[in-house]
Amino acid sequence: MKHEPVRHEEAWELLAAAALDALDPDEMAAVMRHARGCERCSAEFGALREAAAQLAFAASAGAVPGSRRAAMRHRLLVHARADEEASTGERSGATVRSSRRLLRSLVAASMLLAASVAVVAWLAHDRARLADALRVASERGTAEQAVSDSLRDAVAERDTLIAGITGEDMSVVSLAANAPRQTWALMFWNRSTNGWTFIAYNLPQPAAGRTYQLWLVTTRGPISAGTFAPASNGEAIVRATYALPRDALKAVAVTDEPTGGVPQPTGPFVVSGTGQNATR
Amino acid sequence: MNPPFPARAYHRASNVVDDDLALVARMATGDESALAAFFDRWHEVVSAMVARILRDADDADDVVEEAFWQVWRQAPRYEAGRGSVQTWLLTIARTRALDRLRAMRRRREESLEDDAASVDARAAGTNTPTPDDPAVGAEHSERMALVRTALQRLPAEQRSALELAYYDGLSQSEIAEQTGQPLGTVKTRVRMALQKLRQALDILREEAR
Repeated sequence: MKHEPVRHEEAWELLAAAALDALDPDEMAAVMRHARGCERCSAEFGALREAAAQLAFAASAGAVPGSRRAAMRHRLLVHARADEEASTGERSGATVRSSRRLLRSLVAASMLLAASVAVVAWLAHDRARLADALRVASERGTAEQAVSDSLRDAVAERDTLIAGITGEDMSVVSLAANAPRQTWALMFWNRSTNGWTFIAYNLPQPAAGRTYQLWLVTTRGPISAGTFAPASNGEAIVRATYALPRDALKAVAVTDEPTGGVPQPTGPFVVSGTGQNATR
Repeated sequence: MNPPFPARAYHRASNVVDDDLALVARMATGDESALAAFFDRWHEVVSAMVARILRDADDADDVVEEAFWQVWRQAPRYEAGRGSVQTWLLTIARTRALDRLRAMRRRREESLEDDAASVDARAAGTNTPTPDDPAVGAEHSERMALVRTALQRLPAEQRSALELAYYDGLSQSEIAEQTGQPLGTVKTRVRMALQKLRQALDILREEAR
């Protein structure tokens, strides 16, 4: 039902409910429309809104465990740093084309995209480092052909990774650890190519006889995206190709499983994130 | 006899408000340390409120993080003339929590899952955690006592209407439907309850001057 404009007296009576967001949408819109043009109602609404906000202080809850609080604080600051660096890069002109494309979108983007930019920036930096090493090796001649080939492959690998996470039709899922350890990961889903790129940081090494297994948890159940072990510095990159309907992804998770993997997840979650938190 | 209001909260309030404004101004310039300090000051209050609304620890953590992130991103656009920093922050967090609560309700209705399954034991707790900074912690503790006292002084039906609106995100129509009370009665209760709460807070502010 579309509400007619409200009279001053009528709006005045509804300001408390408006301050609590307890009006039906049409009614709220009508009251707010009046308040915008009425200095008295506007001031009263502001005062009631301040009073309503005080109700937050009446909530009781057990203390959030320090580890969870620290993890949350850490994630916020990492994202803020990436956000700020991306904004700075935007102002000064980024050097990597694919990074720049994503950086431009960051200005109005979400927390996940900010983290994505950090990943792209890290890959771009790593690629530049490898390219420099390749140039030096090439200049030294054929005696180091094997080194040159290896570096060339590494540069190509970085190019593939950057291309895989900066497409036009990307969805990104953020994964976090339940344990206190500061592990976090991102899963990039290129919906156009059905390509999946998983990048994790600070993963602990799996125990002997164990491995990590990556899962796409869908509305029809979990789908294995492969097993992997992190590098010695805790970083891991996994790529897979799998076609999935746009709304089918419920979560992405990594579990600790016996070496060789399992058809269905059995071990504890190492990191996980819900598809609900995915951003595009 | 009603318990006395702890008026000392307002002696410290002006400093807290100034500090909040300074932190938001620093966040607007991209100062991450301001975000860290702001998080440390307000995390406990925001977490308690969001946990009360959602009754689910994992969802609550997500919402709290999203709320602080929104503050960080929107700090350059904060206008002091439109309300205090704490009201701005708490409104952001509550709005996000209620959005999540409504989404959870829709999912529950769709899957016909047991509503009790998501209730977290933390919601039953009565502790009042405080920030690391003793001054901020003391101010928040006193404010908590103040608001709880003000709520206790309200008639039960008014307090219930206020809590259903604030913590459950119900509209007046929904409150009327849930409680079986006439809509007009609910409207009166909501209006009276918030006005009384505001008056109690105003009186204390005057007493503290």
